[in-house]
Parts: sequence; C-alpha cells; structure tokens
Amino acid sequence: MTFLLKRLAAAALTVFLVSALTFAAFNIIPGDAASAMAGADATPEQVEQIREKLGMNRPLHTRYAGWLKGFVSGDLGDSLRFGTPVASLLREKLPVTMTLAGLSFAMILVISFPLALLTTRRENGITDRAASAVTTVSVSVPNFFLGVLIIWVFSLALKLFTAGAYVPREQSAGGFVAYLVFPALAVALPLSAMVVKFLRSAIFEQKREAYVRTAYSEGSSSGRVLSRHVLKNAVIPTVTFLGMIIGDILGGSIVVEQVFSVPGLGRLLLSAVNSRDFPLLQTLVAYVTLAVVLANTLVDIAISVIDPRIRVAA
Amino acid sequence: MKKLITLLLSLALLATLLAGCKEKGKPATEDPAVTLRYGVTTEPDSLDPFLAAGADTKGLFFNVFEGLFKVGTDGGLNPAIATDYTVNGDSTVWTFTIRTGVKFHNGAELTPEDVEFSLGKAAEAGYYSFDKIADVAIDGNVVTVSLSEPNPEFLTVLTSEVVPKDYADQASAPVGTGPYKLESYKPQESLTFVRNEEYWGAEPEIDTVVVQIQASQTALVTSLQSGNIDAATVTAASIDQLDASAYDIVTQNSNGPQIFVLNNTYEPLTDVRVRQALNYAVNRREIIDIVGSGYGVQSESPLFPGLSKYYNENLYDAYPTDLETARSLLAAAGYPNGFDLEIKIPSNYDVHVQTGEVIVSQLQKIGVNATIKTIDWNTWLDDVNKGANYQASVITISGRSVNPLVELKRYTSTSSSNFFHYTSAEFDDVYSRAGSELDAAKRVSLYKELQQIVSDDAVSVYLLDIAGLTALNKSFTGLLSYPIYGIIDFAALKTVG
Repeated sequence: MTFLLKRLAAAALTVFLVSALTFAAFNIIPGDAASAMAGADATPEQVEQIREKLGMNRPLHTRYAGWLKGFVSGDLGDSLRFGTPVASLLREKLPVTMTLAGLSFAMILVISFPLALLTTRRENGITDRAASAVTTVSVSVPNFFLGVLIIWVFSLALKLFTAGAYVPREQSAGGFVAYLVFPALAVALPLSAMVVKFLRSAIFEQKREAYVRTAYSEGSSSGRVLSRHVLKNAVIPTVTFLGMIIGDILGGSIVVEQVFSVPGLGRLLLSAVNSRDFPLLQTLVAYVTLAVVLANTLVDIAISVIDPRIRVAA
Repeated sequence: MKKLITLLLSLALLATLLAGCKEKGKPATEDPAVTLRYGVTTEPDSLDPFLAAGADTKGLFFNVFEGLFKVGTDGGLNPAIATDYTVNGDSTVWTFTIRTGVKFHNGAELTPEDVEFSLGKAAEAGYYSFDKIADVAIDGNVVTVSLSEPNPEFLTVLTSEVVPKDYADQASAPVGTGPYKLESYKPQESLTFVRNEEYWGAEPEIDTVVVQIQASQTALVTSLQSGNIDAATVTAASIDQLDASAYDIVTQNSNGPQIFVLNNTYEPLTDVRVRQALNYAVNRREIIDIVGSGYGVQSESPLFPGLSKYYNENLYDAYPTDLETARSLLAAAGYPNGFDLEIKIPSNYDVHVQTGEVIVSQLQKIGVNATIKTIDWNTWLDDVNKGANYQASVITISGRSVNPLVELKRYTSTSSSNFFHYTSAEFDDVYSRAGSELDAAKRVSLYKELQQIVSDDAVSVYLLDIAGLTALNKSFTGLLSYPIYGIIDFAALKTVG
C-alpha cells in the first residue's frame, strides 16, 4: 500500500514540476494571446479589447496560481483562443487521441509479439535476418513521412480510405475507428520495430541461460520451454519498455494527427502554443504528463505483480 | 503455439477491418440537397465580426454578415442593408434609406436602431474613419449620419457588419443578415453554413457549405486528391499534383502586395539610395517563375492591382532589374562592397521563405550578403509588426478595403501599423489632402501620387500580387473573384448539369 502511495505522490510531483516548467517557458517566448489572436491586421483598439476581454492585464503569478487552483478543483477555465471552456474542448478531443493511442498500442502488441517470436526461432536464420532488415528500416522512418506514404499507398493508390475525411465519433463510431486505423498504423510501425528488436534480444539472452538448457535436459518440448520459461522472463523488461514508449505513442499521435487532419489533442496542443493560449496549453500539458506518468506507474505495478522481488527493491 | 495462432487471427481481423473501410469513404449521392465541401487551413480568429481581424475570417464571413453596402467583384459598392443614399455638398451629412423586411438569422427584424448600434460597434473596434462620426439620427427607416469632417469616400467603409443590438452571443453563435448562416462551428474540424431561407436577395443554389479545417497545405492537397473536399485554395506548386479532369483551377489575385520589407530606420537602409539599389537588384520575374511556378502578377506599387480604379499603372515595373545601376547606387551611398542583411521571415509561410531564398541569391550579385532567419509567427508579430527589432522581412499585406486610404494609412508617420518606420512630410501632406478632396478625379490622382511617393522613396521592395489558385470540382462553377480579402462567395456558386 505504501508502495502505491509513494508512486502516486511521485506522479503528482512530476505533473506539478512539468506544469511549472511549461509556464516558465511559455512566458519567455515572445507574443501573447491577444496579439496572436488579433494577428497583423488588427487595429490597436481591437487588440486592447481582446486583452481586456481575456483578463490578460492581471500579473503572471496570479494567472498561474488561478489556473493551478482551478485545475486542482476541476475548473479548467476558458480557452483564450476558442472562447469555449477548456473542459468541453478536452471532452471533444481527448477521446480522439486516446482512441488513436489505444489503437496504436494494440497494433504494436499485435505486430511485434508474433514477429519477435517468429524471428527468434533460429538466431541468424533467414526470417531473423529478413525481419532484422525490415525493423531497422522501420525504426529509421519518421512517422510523419510514413503517414504521407500510407496516404499515398492506401488512400490515393488502393483507395482503401479517403484521406482527410475524418468521421466524428458521434456521427458513426465504426467510421471513426476505421479512419483512425491508418494514422495508428503510422504511429505503430516504427515503434513496433523497436519492440521487436528489444524483445528479440531479450529472448535470445534468455535462451542462452543455463536454466533453459536444464529445462531441455529435463525433456521439456521447445514450445513449453518458450512459453513457461523464456517468454516469462523476457516479458518483464519488455513491459517496462512498453511503458516507456507510451510517451512516444502520444508524441507520435500528435505528429501524425497533422498529416491525417485528425482533430485530436495534437492539433489542439499545436494551436495552443501558436496562439499563446495559456489555460488550454497548461491543461493539455498536465493531462499528457499525467497520462504518461500513470501509464508508467501502472507498468511498475504490473511488473511488481509479475515479479514480487521488484516490489521489495522499491 | 496457441498464443501465436490467436495473434495471427487478430492480424487477420485487422486486415478485414482495413478492407471494411472502403465503403465508408464514399459520399452519399442520393441526397437531393446540394452540399459543397470547402477546405481551408486557417481557423477563424473570432466569430464575433468586430473582434475578427484575419483576412481569411473576413473573407469567409462575407457570406454571413452584410453592411449597408457590399463590395462588388469590380471593387464597386452594391446596396445591401441600405437601398439608397444621399449626401450633402461637402460630404459631411450622409442619409441612408434602410431596406425593410430584412431579417436577422435569429429571426429578429432588422431596424434602423440596429444600424445605429452597429456603427457604434465599428467605431469601438477602431475601424477606419468611424471615429469621425459625430451624430446618428433616425427618422422612420431613414438613418442620417453626420461626420465631423468631410469624407467623400465614406461609403467604402460602410461595408462594416450590421448586427442586432440586443444580442450578446456573437462570439459563439454569430448572427447577421447574409445569404448563409453559421449552423455550427467545431474547433479544428469544420464550420457548417446553411442557406438563409429568409434572405432578402436572390436565393442561392447551394444548400449547405461545409468548410473543413485541415491541418496543413499537404493535407489540403491530399483531401482534394482523395475527393474528400470539392474546393480549396492551393499553392502553385501543388497544382500539378491534382487531376486536371476532376478540377478546374480558378486564378484569382491574392489582393495584397507581397513585399520585401525594409526597416527604414536600420543603417544602411536609412539611405534612400541603398533601398533603391535593392529594388534594382531584385528580379521579380524570376521570383514569379521560381516560387509561383509562373503564376502571379508583377506589381511595384504599395497598392494591389485589384483596386484598378486607383492603382498606379506606371509602377508595374518601376525598378527594372539593373545590376549596374544598383552597384553604382550602393557605391554612391558609401557601400561599394555591399553589407550584411538579416531577413526575418515567419516560418509558417512557405511562399515567403522561398521568396526570401531567391532574394538572397539575387542580392549576392551586388555584394549584399543577406541571410534568412525564420521565426515563428508570434515572434514576427513582436519583432516586425510591433517592434522595430528587425532589418528586413518578407510578407504580404492583405487588402482589406476598396478605399485606398485604408490601405495606404500605414505609410503615414503616425500610424501604429507603419512597420517600415517610414516618415515623409510630403506623403503625410498628400495623404491628408486626399482624404478631404471632394472632386473624384482629383482624388484619384492624389491616390496615384501617394503610390508614386512610396515608390520613389523605395520604402521597401514591392514584388508582386501572389496568385490565389482555387481548385474547384468540375461539378461546381461560378467562383467569383473579389478585389479584397479572398472572399469566397457561396451565393454565386452553382452546380453543373
């Protein structure tokens, strides 16, 4: 129980530190929300009206304290750029990115585990070497470029989907998920390749261990040795690794959303930075941080369940 | 092994899912209502017409809001909320007859009081010359506006939006009198406009216009290629990627001079000879060929060619490329070996960055060692638009009014938007005379003189009017070209066949 409490306290501290750093960084970069909104063509009167309306004439620390108090008490305030409550923007966009990230994560599992098992049947065999070449290429391709490639192949050439024709989930849940499949693929492929590489070396490492030889000498079948011994031990570092790439999945989603015109958190985040939308940006950063920290905490808990020795060490 | 089979099965399931998407992409064709899907990349800066300043926003909401008068395609003014007007001899008292039976999108009847209220809103927002309104009187459906000083071009500013006075939700649910009303706005997704069934004018053909907000120019082009949108304004470079049998390319002006901006207070740009030398060194034709793929109209006036009545035609090629003259001007100014110049360009405008690159190579030929520093848009607003913290830049100033004095105001010494930091007593004097000149022909010659002064003083290097290229699906026609903003007139669009 104290283990859990410690983890949660650390998580809260991380979120606070990130939000404070974001706030500091945000105040160093040039421009403010009023001038960003008004653009180059506005009259000085319009800029002043906007500044007044947004309550931007208050000092910085009161604005941050106000936001922090609101965030903790669940009142997220209004977006400066869109004039709507941050909460309603999040309600709209958060499920989009979460679905995209969830789909990507599922794809990573579905792609990487079978592939890793297939390649590790024989070290330096044909499948191993072929897979190794494919994964090396996949790891090196940036996800936004992969996104453009996917659009070109699956939308323009094969006509499997209509690029840009995002389907809102309230219109059709199936169409919504179906549209996200291809962006998710763009996020998942490079990361799957990383997981394959990681899992492959973990499995080979375990296979060389003495206990594997012992298991074989006891007459266990190779399938049984793999599932009972090798995989179980290779999975622990891989789960940690999966926890670590959750940040990459979210980061990848944010980039890929631009390519596929998916109206999720990524586009919102970008617009919040570009329009100096302080309440929106702070909340988004806090949420993304929270998601990553929570995922990592869950991984730690999961591992402590799989391998109780780790709990003692923590 | 069993696990492996399960995983392989899930893969197969995924493949089926992918194949299943195919049907979903097809648009419904049986629906008799006509919908046009228009793609854009800019989010409206505000739905409230008096807070919105972006040229793209104004161009889009041209369909929603109307003024007493409406800009025509020729730059003239057509009666809208006002049916006609009279004016006294010295252009200080303007009388307007307000159209009866006009309804706002919320069902309220338009009254002369709404007009008075809206004129007040425009003044509050700092719209050009509204601070000179001394009095507004209402008599029946006649509104009389008295000005504190003569303004013969007063009508041109009366395109300002007329809104209902007892309505507080303009920022979330805007209400105007135009042929289309805004049905919904989903940030970063779309704006849906539906036909105003109670419009006072001719009924438009298109029932619904969905304006899709795409994430980037690339996304816009793929959306056109995949048939997800019917129309969008695209760059010259991407035209070749489009299927010519599916789209017509409508060429419009972008309505604003693209300028290689010079900070007139930065040494050595303080010397008019140096600025003239840069003008002689820049080859506009080359910029049009390289950056615009041949599209674009060369123009060396601070005004844009769309305002044809006032545009000074003599300035089309005021500084023909002449490296010899450029070099001797530099030498005369004391810079025979050139100098270093940093050009700050907002990174979100590819076209300006590319133009900057061409300019850098052209300036090398006269020994000017220019470098490009790309900065983000907000930094540009701070450093260039607001402060004088720059040496040179490249930007387009969007045309906002058919009144040339609105466009040229930024060259007056006291203007807050004079980011050239140009001061000229001569310009200021002609500018103030042009504002009160009652004779129309003399006024036009003063407007042309103002452009001549800016050109002679080489305030900056005026390049061209970038081409606005709109791809329109062949099942639609009737896209009109206006001289300001980049107006998309939904009401004029029609289906083919």
